[in-house]
Amino acid sequence: MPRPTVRVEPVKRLSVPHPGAAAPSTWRGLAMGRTGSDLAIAILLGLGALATLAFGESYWLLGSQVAITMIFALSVDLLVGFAGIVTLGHAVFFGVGAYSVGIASVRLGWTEPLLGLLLAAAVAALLGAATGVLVLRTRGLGQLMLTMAFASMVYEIANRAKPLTGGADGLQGMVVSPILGLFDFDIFGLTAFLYTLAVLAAVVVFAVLMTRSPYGRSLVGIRENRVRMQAIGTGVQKRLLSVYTLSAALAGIAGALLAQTSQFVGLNVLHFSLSGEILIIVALGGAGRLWGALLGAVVFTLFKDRLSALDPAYWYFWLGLLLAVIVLFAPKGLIGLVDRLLAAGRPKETA
Amino acid sequence: MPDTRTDSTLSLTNVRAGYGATVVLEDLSFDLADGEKLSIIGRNGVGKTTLLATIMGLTRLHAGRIGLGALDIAALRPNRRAHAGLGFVPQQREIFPSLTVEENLLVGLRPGGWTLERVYDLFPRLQQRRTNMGNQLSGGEQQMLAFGRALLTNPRVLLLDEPFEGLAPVIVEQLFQALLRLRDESRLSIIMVEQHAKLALAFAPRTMVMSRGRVAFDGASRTLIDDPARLDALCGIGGGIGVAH
Repeated sequence: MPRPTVRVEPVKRLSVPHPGAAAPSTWRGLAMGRTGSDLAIAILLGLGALATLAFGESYWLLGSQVAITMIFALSVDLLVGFAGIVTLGHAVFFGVGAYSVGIASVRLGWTEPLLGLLLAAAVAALLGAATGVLVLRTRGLGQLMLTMAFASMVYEIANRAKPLTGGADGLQGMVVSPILGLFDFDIFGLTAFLYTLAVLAAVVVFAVLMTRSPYGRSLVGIRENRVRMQAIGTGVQKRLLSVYTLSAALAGIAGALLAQTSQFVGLNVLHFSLSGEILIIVALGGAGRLWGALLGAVVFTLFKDRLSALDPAYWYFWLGLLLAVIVLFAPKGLIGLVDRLLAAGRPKETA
Repeated sequence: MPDTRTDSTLSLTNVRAGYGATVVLEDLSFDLADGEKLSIIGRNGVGKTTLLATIMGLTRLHAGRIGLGALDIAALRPNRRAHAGLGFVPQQREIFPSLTVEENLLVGLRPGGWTLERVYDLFPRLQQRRTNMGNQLSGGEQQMLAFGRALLTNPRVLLLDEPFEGLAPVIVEQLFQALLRLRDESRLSIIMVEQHAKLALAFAPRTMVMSRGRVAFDGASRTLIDDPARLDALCGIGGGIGVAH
């Protein structure tokens, strides 16, 4: 009987396992590739912010709004683009964040802005954890329905709780202390712009590090193959709940920034249309790519501003048309377009 | 001191399992010693894959005990079982398409003897492809990646489900070399489910033949290599072809 024909070569020893060895460089090489477009967009946005600071006095207020929308878009992209959780009710966390600092200021006299951000993040995270437990039992359409349902309920509560929220009239008379006791909010919006930019920068750094970490990669893994992630040892449900809570906190911070910089909170921050809009922004930019979401937020907010100035009556039509065109020609979002542009400018690689 | 025997790493006792109400595995028992390698062969549809899925907790267990070391893992969820020391390389490989090779490897990383460097040492091809996306790999590369990903969870028992299925012969040869290296140089316990009897028998000193959800043979691979007629009888037409000539 001949032995099976597979030949065994002498092989060099595997390196000796040493259990206490330093953890391998987990961060190195994560999220490589794809970085060209990210870098291009980062530079573009950075230059845009600088130019606005230097020359665009009349755009400072708009600039804050853009930065706030960017934070909000990031929070949604973490869910939709990375973890594969869909939501049509994320405005609830944005709104709850806004109302938290609003109510703290108007009813309790807590006007410190940075503590306000923490408060908003904490309240939104609590609500996120509580509703997340239920939302994450479902998937797809179920998630859409539940997130929408919770958002509608909170909207109606805010509408009815007039003594607390001011109801349909909004929360008037909000006061915000100078940032760090030094920088007062001015009427030109310079402080507001710099403040939101600083918070945006911190959130972006956090989100980039998080998505490149093994934790962030595991979210993508869960989106692509839940059973497999479980089989390599990830507690899927817990991890989804953690990112849902985190995303809620970031949305809460965005909402708080809006309240602080506009010193007013209205029911619109909880409205369904805001939930829809932010989802569109993420899709427009390119879901699953942080810099896509950021670019989407900028483009959408600027379009909205310009179009409503050019054609106050029918601007929603033009916005719709523009979005349709972009989706048709850039199915992977604006960042997909950037990818293609960069690839076209690069000489063909020979593998 | 209680008796903490570690010689049996994985033990299945009277396991009955399947999908929903359907029972695929009937009253199946076996033990796997620490560091032991076991091949499982059998005709199509006898429950080989279901057996691995059951060990992993992906099926419905109707009865029986599944022990991992001193721990009864039968009631644990799959992720807890992975933490307890099971590494599973599924038949479909199930690479994450939008993670790079390196990200695929690191996504399940748990500390232990297996490091990125050691996996690259075992599969140099993966190092060359480390920045490629999961969906840009050939079948063989995907299989290497699936191995590497499982190894980096630093399991005690590695479960391989038909690792050579659908691969070109030259790739099978390469992969098999890597597996032999793994067999000879690591203290991992390994269960390999395989269609090719030739490879299966050459891989492990012990082979189990399954038939209709039960163990039809469990013994030295040598016995079956030396007795092709018996192997044919156990595995049916085709099962023994690799050994017969």
